[in-house]
Amino acid sequence: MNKAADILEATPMVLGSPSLAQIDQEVAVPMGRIPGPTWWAAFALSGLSMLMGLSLMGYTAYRGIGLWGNNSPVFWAFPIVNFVFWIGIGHAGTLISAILFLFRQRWRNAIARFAEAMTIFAVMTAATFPVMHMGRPWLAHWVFPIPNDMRLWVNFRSPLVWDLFAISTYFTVSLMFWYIGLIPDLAAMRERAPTNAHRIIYSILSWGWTGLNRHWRHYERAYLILAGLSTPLVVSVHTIVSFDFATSVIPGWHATILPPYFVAGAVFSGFAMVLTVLIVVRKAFHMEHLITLRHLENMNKVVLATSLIVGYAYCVELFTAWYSGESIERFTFLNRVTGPYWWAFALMVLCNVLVPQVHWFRKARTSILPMFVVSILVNVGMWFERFVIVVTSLHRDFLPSSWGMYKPTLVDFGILLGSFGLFFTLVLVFVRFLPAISMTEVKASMPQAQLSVHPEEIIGQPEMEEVSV
Amino acid sequence: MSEKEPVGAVVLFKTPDDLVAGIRRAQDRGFTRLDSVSPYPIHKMDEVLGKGPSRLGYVAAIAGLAGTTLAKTAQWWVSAVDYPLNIGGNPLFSYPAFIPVTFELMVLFSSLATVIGMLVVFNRLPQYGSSLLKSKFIRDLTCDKYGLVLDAADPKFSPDTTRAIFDGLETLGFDLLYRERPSPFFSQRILSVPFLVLLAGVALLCSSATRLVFRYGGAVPPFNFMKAQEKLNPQHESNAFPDKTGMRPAVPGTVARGLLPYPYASDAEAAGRDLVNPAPVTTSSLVRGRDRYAIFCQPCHGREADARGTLTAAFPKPPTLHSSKARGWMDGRIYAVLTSGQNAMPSYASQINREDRWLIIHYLRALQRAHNAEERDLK
Repeated sequence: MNKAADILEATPMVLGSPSLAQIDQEVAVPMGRIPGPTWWAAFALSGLSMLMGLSLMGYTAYRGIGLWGNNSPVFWAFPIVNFVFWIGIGHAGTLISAILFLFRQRWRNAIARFAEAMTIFAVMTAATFPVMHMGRPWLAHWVFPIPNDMRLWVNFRSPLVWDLFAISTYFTVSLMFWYIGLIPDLAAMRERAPTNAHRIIYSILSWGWTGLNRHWRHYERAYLILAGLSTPLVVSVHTIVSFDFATSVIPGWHATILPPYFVAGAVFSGFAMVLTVLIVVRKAFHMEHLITLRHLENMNKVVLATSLIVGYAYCVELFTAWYSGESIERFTFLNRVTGPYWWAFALMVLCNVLVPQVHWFRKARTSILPMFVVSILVNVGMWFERFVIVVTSLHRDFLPSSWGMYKPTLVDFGILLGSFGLFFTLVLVFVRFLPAISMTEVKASMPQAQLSVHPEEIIGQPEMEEVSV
Repeated sequence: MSEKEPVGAVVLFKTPDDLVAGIRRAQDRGFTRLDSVSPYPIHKMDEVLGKGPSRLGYVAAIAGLAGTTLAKTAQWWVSAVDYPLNIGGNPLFSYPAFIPVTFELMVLFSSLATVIGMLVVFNRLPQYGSSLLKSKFIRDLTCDKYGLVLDAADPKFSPDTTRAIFDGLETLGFDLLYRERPSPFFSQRILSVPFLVLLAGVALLCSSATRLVFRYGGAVPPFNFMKAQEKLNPQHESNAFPDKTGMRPAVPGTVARGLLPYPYASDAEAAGRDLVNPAPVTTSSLVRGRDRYAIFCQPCHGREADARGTLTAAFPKPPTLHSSKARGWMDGRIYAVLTSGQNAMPSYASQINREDRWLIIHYLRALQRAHNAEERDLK
């Protein structure tokens, strides 16, 4: 047995050594069945939230954003908080699918598909907020540099324009990466489609994929290139999101630590969200032996590591404010900790820095209930982190005469709840119709799927010509 | 043809190692056109088949360079040439500020080219008509079995005897592949007539829908750009005042600022007799008169006051102002027309103030004189 297989044997990523056909069976079967009452209950709940959010957005488009709590001086409030929160959620997907792929972390194979799907849904959810914040969402295309009869162009020196390019590129590339990964699985689904309608849809979507090696050769290279491109891309996206703040002169925003701090926070919250959803999904679809405790434990380790980075960033921010000797900067951070929004800061530190420390204990990392609670608290904490950054910096800046307080309205909360509805509705539809675990990648990482050839057998082989069948 | 010729054959194996044994056997028998089929990419299979690495990387690199170049050029042209904006006194070509968009477009172009290149150019997908899809083994081949595909174009291939060369190996089956009739739905030909008709139909539908949306969609709130607002509109009802009218009557016993009584509203001839143009004839007053004329008069009366204005197609055509009648009128008489209107022409008193009305008359006199020059004007 060769070395790769030894390593795989020592740390099984799939429990119970199922056959390749069993993997297909277990991933694909839930899709052919009429879902049970739990799925329908969850779908009804999230669907209703989504509808409520969409109606409130429609109402906002009709009446104007005066329905929200945004005011002067807190011009950026819930919409931007939610936007940054959702964009951050997406980053775990790309990290798992691209960066861990480049590092040959093969344990990622079972969770990559799901995390990528969450990336796409999170970016879609995030994008609704700036569009609604424009006030006239039907003119959203004006942010693109489109030649127009007003002879106007966008300002390429504005971080908001960079953001637009970053988010739309991120969405496009993530979607392609996800879809490329899906094609072989869709081909497998095509061959086991329960009805003719399924068969036709899966056929069209799988491009007539057959699995010839001459296709796999380019396919694997494309996957590698996309992973290589996505890796700097994902870092750039939250960096540019942080530029929206950092390139301004508002105290508390104008800091060079913001890009790395934002990226770490994004990975942190994204992994927490993936954990939250995966814990439920693996239970609901009986995939505990495909998404094992080892996967969850690894993700918990990432949560712990990024929690430390985020905690470090909080300390550096406070230290820099004090060390700068700049009175307004000092005041801003004092106001963050002890001002009227002290509770948001306290909640943020509690959820993001203190709670994840339980993952130092192996017992917490490998038990479902503690990690589930931690993952939810981390999401709460990360939402409040964005709230703290946006609101406490804006509500008291240089001019005490223009200080104010921010209070969200019911419409704000309704749209926030609606964004969760949109996200979870998409997740539920996804697990219902598409393979939530990459069958191809899990199969490829099984011990029995490996080729045991001697090195001399593969050196200098004659090149075979292409078949056309 | 009644009897179909196979385009190839597929041999089914249980494990990847069996598959390699099969490949070796076929190679030993002189086959050169063969390939493997597997439900996942088998590590090292490229080397077994003697294939080098894919050249897709070059496509990605070239497209990335193209994206970079396009982004930099476009940002330079927009920000420094076509629409120069001074942002904080920074140079118009702010190289560092253009890096984020450049990077994003590099990634976007590179990824798009990689995906499209892989699917369409290198793999020549979609292949909905592939004979493998009709093989009885295709379900196994996308699940947990491995196939060796032999092409009928290989000189060693023969539908009857090829099967026998795998005797003694661990095979699970042998199947000849036949090319299906091309599907009417998945025609590979883009330039077929039904497809082009469909394309034209879609184009027509989209453009008429767009036209309708732009024509009528803009009138519906909230898309009407705040036309309907709760503001004070003259001639409209308003809830802001007890008498429910938007227009406010003058306070009793007062006059509006600058108001002078104009007693000639019903007697234009009297205005011609009594009123004298108070404005001096200077270069600046003529320039001002020309501007006002261009704004208020030219649309109907034309640039030369010869009744060739651009609106005359839609509105009643005014008479030329070079008639002897118009030239014979006193300034005051023309002033009466501007102030009270005449025939189809409405009053301009609310739009042009008194002084400007007199300046327009000066300019009109200049036009009349220019058009009806006498000999002494040439001196």
